[in-house]
Amino acid sequence: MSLAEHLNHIGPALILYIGAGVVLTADMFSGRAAPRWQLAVLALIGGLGWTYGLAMGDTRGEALGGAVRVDDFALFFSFLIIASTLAVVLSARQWTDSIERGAELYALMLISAASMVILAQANDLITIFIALETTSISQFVMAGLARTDRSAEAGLKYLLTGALSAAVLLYGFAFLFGMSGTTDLDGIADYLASAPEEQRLPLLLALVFVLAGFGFKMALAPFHAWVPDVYQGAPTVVSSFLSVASKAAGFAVALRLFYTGLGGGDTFLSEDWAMFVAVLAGLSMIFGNTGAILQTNAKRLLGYSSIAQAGNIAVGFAAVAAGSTIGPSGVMFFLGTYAATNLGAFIAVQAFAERTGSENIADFAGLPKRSPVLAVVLSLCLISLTGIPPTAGFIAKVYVFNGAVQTGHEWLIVLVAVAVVNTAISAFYYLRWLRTMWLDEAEDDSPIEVAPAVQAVLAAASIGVLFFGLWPAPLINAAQSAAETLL
Amino acid sequence: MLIAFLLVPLLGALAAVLLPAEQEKNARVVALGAAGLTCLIAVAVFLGFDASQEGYQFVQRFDWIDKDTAGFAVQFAVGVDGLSAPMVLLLGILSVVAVLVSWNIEVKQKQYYAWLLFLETAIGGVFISLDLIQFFLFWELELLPMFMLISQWGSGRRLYSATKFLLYTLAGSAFMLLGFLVIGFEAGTFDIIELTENPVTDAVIPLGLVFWAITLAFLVKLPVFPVHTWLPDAHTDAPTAVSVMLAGVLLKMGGYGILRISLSLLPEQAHDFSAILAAIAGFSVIWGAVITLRQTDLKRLVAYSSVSHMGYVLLGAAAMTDVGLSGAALQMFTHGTITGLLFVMVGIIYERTHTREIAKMSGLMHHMPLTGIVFIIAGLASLGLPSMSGFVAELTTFLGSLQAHPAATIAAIFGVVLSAGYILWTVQRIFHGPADPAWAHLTDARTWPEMVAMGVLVVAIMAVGIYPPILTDAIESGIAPIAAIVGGVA
Amino acid sequence: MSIPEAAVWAIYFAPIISFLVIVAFLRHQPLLAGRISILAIFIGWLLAIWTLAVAIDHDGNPLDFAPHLWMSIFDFEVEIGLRIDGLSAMMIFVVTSISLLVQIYSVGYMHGDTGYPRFFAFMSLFTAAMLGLVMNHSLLMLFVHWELVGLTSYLLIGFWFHRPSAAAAAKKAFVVTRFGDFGFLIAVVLIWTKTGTFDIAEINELAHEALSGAVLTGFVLGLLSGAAGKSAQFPLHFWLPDAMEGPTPVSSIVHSATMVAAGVYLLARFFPTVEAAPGEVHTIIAYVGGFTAIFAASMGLVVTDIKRVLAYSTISQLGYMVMAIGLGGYVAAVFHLFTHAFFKSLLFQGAGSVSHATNTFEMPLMGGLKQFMPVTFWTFLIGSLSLSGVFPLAGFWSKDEILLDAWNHDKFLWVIGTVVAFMTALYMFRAIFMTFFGEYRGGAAPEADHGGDHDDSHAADHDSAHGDSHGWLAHPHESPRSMLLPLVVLSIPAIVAGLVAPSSFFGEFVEGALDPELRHFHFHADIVVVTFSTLAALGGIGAAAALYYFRTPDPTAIQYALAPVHRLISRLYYVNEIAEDVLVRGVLYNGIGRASAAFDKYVVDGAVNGVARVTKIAGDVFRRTETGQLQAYTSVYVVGVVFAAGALFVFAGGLLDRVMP
Repeated sequence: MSLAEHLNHIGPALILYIGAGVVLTADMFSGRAAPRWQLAVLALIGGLGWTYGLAMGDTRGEALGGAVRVDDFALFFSFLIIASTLAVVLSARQWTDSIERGAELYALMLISAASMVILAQANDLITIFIALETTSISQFVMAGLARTDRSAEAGLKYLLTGALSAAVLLYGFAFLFGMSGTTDLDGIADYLASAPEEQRLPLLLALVFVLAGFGFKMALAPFHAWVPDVYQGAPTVVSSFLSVASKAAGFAVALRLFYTGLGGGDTFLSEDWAMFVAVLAGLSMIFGNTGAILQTNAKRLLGYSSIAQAGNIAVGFAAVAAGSTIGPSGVMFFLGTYAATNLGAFIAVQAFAERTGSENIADFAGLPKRSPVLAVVLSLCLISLTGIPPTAGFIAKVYVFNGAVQTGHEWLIVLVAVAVVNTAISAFYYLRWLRTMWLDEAEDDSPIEVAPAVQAVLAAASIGVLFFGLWPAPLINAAQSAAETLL
Repeated sequence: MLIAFLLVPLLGALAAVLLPAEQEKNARVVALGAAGLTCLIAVAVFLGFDASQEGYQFVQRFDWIDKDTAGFAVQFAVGVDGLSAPMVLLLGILSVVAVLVSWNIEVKQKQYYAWLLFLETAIGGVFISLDLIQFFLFWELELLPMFMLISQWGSGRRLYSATKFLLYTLAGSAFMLLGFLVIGFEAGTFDIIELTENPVTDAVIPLGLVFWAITLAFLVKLPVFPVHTWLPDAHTDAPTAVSVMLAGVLLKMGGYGILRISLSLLPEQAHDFSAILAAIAGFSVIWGAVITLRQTDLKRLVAYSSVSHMGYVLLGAAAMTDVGLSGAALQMFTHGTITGLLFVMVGIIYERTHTREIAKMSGLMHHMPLTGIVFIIAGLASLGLPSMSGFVAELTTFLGSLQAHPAATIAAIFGVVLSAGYILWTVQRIFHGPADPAWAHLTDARTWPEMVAMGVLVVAIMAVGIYPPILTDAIESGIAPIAAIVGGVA
Repeated sequence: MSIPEAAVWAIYFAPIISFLVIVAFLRHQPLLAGRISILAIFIGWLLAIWTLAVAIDHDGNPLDFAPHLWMSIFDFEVEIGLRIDGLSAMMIFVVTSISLLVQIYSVGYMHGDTGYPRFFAFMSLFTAAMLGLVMNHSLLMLFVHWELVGLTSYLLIGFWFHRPSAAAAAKKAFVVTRFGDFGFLIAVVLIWTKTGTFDIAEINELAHEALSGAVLTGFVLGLLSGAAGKSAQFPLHFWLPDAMEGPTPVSSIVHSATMVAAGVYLLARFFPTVEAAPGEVHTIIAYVGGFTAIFAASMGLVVTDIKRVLAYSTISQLGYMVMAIGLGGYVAAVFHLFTHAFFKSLLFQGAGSVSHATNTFEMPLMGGLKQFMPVTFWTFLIGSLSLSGVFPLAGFWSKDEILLDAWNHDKFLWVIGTVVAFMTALYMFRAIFMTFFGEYRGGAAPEADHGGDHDDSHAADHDSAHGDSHGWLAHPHESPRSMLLPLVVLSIPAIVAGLVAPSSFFGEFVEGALDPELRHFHFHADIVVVTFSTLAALGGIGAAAALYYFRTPDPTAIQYALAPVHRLISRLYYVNEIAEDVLVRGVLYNGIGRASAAFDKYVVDGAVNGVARVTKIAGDVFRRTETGQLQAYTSVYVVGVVFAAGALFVFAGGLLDRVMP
């Protein structure tokens, strides 16, 4: 296998890495004048294009000695990650122009995204860990980029809890390696296939640690504690990046590890794994939703909401672990729609905050007058997050919950019961926000103009929310074919 | 045909919002046009419906989520049978009425009419869905417009009431979805027709649970004791048109769901729990009526009377005899027209007196004779006076349910006495008595929108009351299969 | 001799058409409205006579008219059809005749009233409903029209709705009768559930063959409850006196002659079924009637409002009829219904004529009217004699039939009946002496606006129409011809209607409605019964003369002597207080109602809001776990991991099994 082929396999990530380098270099030479934004966008578009090329082409299989693999699953997530990063970058210009470290942000974001892409492709514990750390570290820095105390504090918190989770994850990997004697996921799978029953406990322990590590990325309770502070403290650009791309990557790698590494839904581990995930899912939904009820800060609320949403996704993940055939595609479909929805929400909030300097929900009053675009998009996204038709969020919930029920496990049906009740709770704070926006009178109704790029992103997001709500078939097909490569 | 029935109001809604700001006033014209056209379609469907044969007509199907890719199939399938055809007609009529009674609203007209029409689409979808997920979709779809309409154009504690309505319904429908998913998992389909033909016989969780998970949502919507407390608040604070829609068609979604889904898809469980349902029904009738007696707010009074009257629907359903079920179906239609009219009248009065305090009004008959007469007609219909539709429905229900649930039926019959009490007492307090100079300035309801709104409903009430076959033939063809299913269990 | 079905239906539709025409076109043409209405009922009357002739030709046996299917839902079929036999033909004739006369009377009586067209519209509607009630062949249709007459009664009592007392009385009348209909409706539903038919004839047959005693008991008691409501039998009697709030013509047809007799008609219609019911049921019916008769009569003795005297008298007489049904005296009941209709209608119109002159119904304000209004006096006298059962007037024959049945079946009820006969004579002639004899006591001042509680107030209108507001006080004038004519006409049947009795023609005619095996009427008079009843009647008249003409002994003295009793009775045994204040306002409204409303608000709704509150509190708690303290976060994280690991060891790891085998 020629070097070119190897590189071809990791092309998307590669482009992003290079893009990061270029942005920094450009910045080094021509400083603020440098077209860093354009370069970043260019890199991302390139990455997107390459991913598309791979998806269309027939380049599949492992590369770099089995460290990474290209398959529909990886491509699905690469696409998702790069696309959402692109969205974030497109909407970031306004803010990056206001700080002197704009270039760093783009560079870090590109690196982080690139590593996530690798993460989605990773087929080896070491690759996974390294990629994971690269994403995380760049995220820690990004979180602290804004020169505000809150931002700095957020960065620090994120860093430290992140370090902790990394350690735990490493523990888990160590266990796996120690027992199987290999870091290659397929190798681990082979080992498990023949693993003696008494290895069960240590394996489960390993599993707990691994999930604790990933749970941190997915923002699942009780590994969620950092989320509200960081989302609120970090620059909104970063928060939206974390809430979408990072979460997606977390689920991607977890799915991959579970299927390829732990042999899918048919090992003697899977039921315990599933129950464990189910518990995390339940906790996350309850913590997230109830926690969000009394929030007055938009970003913080979205933070809690993203914990709750992680819980919803985890319902699908638990279903996967319990051997549902709908499960994996459910998770992916949810992540896809969630990306559009949450990005829409975050970027709308960001655009609002940048103009008004306020993140208070109360200040969203009279938004339709001030900026119809923001109002409509934000409303659509909130409705979708609640899971009310005709938005994608509705289909996604039905899809995931259905997956859980299809397993035919009573305890999963109980979990779905918890989930649906939580839907009702979440409606309370989502729609209250909606109402504040549409019905309360604004004391200041100066118009808010939104940059064309941002408008484009918002438009794309809301189109996605509506389109997949009314016509989910395409995304479902993609998710399915991606999932099949795992099964 | 039915697709158009859903699309026309939707497009009307779009047209309304997209109107240029200076055209704000014309939103109502657009709305009236859309609602009117929809009403014509509804009438066409109802007349075109062949009552001589059972089963669904005007059926249209599209695959929406197909089984091969998603692993489960959801289709967009619509059709009407003898049960839904009257509901479609009712919705068509009441939507026009709703637009007419909101002719004079000033605030954010474009938004208002858009939401109103959107609401019509959502409710219409519930009545003609042939797929559980699609049914659920429309069921949830209706929340948004209701929430917006109540919380924005309402009065009093409108936000509280809107939120209450929202959470109540969501809490109910949450479990409904769960139940649907379980059924879908067992049967491998969400197609209502298939599920009706061969109902699921067991599931991962006891079907009894599934039955209640689903039925709870319907009981909340009806509503019956003890899940009714959202209704008085929602009604009291909602604008007139929304009250009309709420009492007229929204509550019917509950009764419709019970007949179409609870009974048809889970006949055995329904049969096992019929006694409980009947008990709830009988109790609700009395409970609602007794509390109605105490109301001092005119709108609240009508709202509580709805609790009482919707109890008849549940009673008829719980009877699970062909006659009883027909009674329930009839009661749904008649209550829609009657209570709809009552709310129209309340709105007309409120618009002029700016109060709903019964104590504050008296002798209005002197100043608004027409209003008084129509109100009395509505009241008499509501207390089940023969020659008006309410009597036919209630009698049919009683005839169907006495054998199965004597106690509950007798309780329900006693409700008729109580309703006579509160209706006539209200009439006496508001309209009778010497002329009150304080109200001398009141004008009678003689603007054309008001006249049309009242006229349409009065005609509907009298026509069905005097010549019931208008409805009963259709209903019989719709109820026969359901009765066969639940009857077959016994 | 025969009659086409359409002709019979025409009797029913004529007044409906006049109602519609008046409502649609004649709202502002009083005269035309009145004429149309009278014309319609006149046509109906002619056809009614034809029907009656045909029925007589058939010896009262049911004419055969095929019913028509109106609607059907599965087994629930509604047919519309005629049931013309001795009973219904007689009723049709009575209803149309009295309606005709009353409407003619109303032309004068309602003259100048602002609601004149409305009055005639309602009158037409009432007549139609009443006809529908008596001519339909199915129980359901009977019930339907039963409710409709209830409605028209409500509308007519509340005719002067501006008067709070009238509005209240209207509501009271409807709700109290509705309360009786509660039982009636159960009976309707029950009988359909058991027999699957509404056809009265079929039900009457099945009653003997198919139906169990329990079902029959339930059914007949249900009918009785309905009848008690409509025919104002104890304990549902107390709405009728208040119903006198309506215009007097209304009282004279709706609340004396026809509608209130509908209860008796219902029991008579289902007489075979009643017969088939267990004996206890008969006893119940008989004693309800008997008690009502004497109970109401006692109140008739003390009230001073002439219309209310007549109202209580009506209740008392209806009690007679119900008692007769209970005693198996079908013919007696129907016969009394027949005669009573005429003389009671006559009496009410007389009372109306009196108030027309004096502007009041309070007898203490009248007196000495004999010389001012002779026609009214003589006709009223005839009516009273007939009602008191003085030989040979109509009342005598019909009342004796009932007393005879009582004598044969239940001596105790016979005693009661005879006492009631005495009381009847007493209160009627008390009324006569107070009204027509002695000095004229000046009547009541005219009211500018319709006000006085028991005052039709049309006299005020009438008077102001004449322009002089006080001239009449000195010498009240006789009523106009349009009012006197009906009085005169009605006094004829009041005299002669009874004479058909000895020929036993009437009995056989109305028995045509029954199955042959139930027909056993043959006239005979028992000398004991006749003697006692006549003595009672004459005694009553004598007593009245002594008390209220010669004033020896002075009635007021007796009042003082019997003060407690007098108070009890004149407060109408506190029935209104018990029913309205205690039961409705106290128990239902303030008791159950308030409790339920509170429960609904604080418990049911409280629970809902509670759930919301709890969720919020939980949210607050979870929110507070976000202290912003890094240590807290990390420890949460670690605890989470440890817990998870521990859980795995305990459950998945089967540690439990090892710890506790």
